[in-house]
Amino acid sequence: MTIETIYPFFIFAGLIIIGVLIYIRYLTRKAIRSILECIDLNTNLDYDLHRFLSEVTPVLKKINIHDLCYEINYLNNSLTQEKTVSSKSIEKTLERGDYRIKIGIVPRHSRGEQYYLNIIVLEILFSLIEMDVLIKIKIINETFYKFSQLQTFILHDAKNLAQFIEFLTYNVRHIDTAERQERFISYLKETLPAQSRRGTNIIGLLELKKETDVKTSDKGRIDLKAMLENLAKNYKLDCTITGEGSITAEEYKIISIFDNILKNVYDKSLEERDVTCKIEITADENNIKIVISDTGSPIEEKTRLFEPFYSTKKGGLGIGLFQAKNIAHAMKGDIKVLSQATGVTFEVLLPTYQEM
Amino acid sequence: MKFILLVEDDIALRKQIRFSLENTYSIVEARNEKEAVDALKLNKIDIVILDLGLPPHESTPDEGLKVLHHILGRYDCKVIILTGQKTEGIALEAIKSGAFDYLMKPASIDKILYSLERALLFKETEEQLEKQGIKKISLDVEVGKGLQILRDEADKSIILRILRDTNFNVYQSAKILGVKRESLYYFLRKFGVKRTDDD
Repeated sequence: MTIETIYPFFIFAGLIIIGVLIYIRYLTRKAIRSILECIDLNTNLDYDLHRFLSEVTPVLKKINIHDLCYEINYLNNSLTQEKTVSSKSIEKTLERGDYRIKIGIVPRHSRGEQYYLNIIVLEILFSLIEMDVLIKIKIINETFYKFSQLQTFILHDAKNLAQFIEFLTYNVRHIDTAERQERFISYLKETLPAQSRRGTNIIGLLELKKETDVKTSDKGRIDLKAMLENLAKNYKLDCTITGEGSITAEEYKIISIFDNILKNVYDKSLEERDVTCKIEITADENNIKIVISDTGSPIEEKTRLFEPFYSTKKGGLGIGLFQAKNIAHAMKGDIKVLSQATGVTFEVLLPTYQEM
Repeated sequence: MKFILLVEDDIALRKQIRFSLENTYSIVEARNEKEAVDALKLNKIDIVILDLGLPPHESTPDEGLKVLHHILGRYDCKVIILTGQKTEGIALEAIKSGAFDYLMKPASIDKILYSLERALLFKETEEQLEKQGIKKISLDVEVGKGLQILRDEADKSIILRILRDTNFNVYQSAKILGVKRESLYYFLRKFGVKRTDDD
């Protein structure tokens, strides 16, 4: 047999190989297209597991996956779908602390190269479903945690308020002398600003949203030095204030900004020795800058300082500075923070007057 | 006049409690753990009305429990917890630590005044008993682990109490306890008792 006589066999074998490669390429491209379609579908449905499972079957049918069955359990939730056809399925099961996932696909063919494609499809589908379950678990857990944190904060203030009213009612009935009356009024005068701030804080927590500026009629001229002196005095901070300036704005918003910043200094002063504070006010025609520096420890994660619900403090809600920055932004101002080994500096920049 | 220490971070509430009590008692105020510790050092406090949610951790009972542990290890005053922190665990911890009463906010004034009167009665009775040489000690021991643990706890508790009363004067304490100085040193080593700056 000469070499020429076996050429046709080579050519034939080559053609078969090319044909197989083209077929595999066709199948793979089809599978990849459908897998990408599944990923897009999951993204478009906002990683909503229930909707994804109900809408993914038509996409799978394009790559000869006849049916989909599953048993998914997470946080006392259960999603189940039985096979609707009698053919054999390929399955994968995973069980972890919070969840159990069992996914099965029923392919139309499971021979040769199709088997491996089916396995790839199952693995990717499984990963998508597991990701959705994990997102769901994380969201549910975090929501419960934040809700309970928020509830704790509001309850703390609400209970104090109820107790305050209880005592107030009793005290009003027991003012028996002029001297006692005078003292009662002086206590109220001394404490009502704090009560008012508390009320504002509760409303601020419940209305947690992007602050917007309001009509000018609610705004008044605020002497910043006097206001900061008052706040520092309330917290009994060792604080020096230099410079002067005033701003036209809603008073409660300005108080909210600086109260949140000074509360941080106060909290630090309770855990660290000899924390002092320095406030510098500088103003020009359009803007006023208030720089508040303390001598306490630096911030652990500066980039997350203004992130809502982030707090390094045990039991902290992580809302105060987020709110302060929100208010400043709504007033077309800003709050920046500089954290060094020698202490933390907050720089608050606000326009001195806002147009209607 | 009896001294009452009000440990409460809410100034408005603190002033109202003060107003309702200041005709009958001398009131000392504290807003946080640090101020409470200082006030206890400077005044001979009889009763402490203690909020547990104090800054910088207002939403946890940690700071208040710190004050409670500080008081009960060093002073003879009675502690009435007046707090919004509501969990069985916290109440249990406070009572176990030796708090006299645990009142949930908002509590009625009658309840608070009644608790205050009872605490004072207990305090005065204990003081009278002390004059007769009878000291009241409280122990937290797990029953069922043998009597030796109970004896050790009782020994430790009374020795610590007398040492604090005598400002850590070992000679005087040994005399009050009716033991030799060497024996007292033995117990101090056994229980690992050292004088701290706060004592």
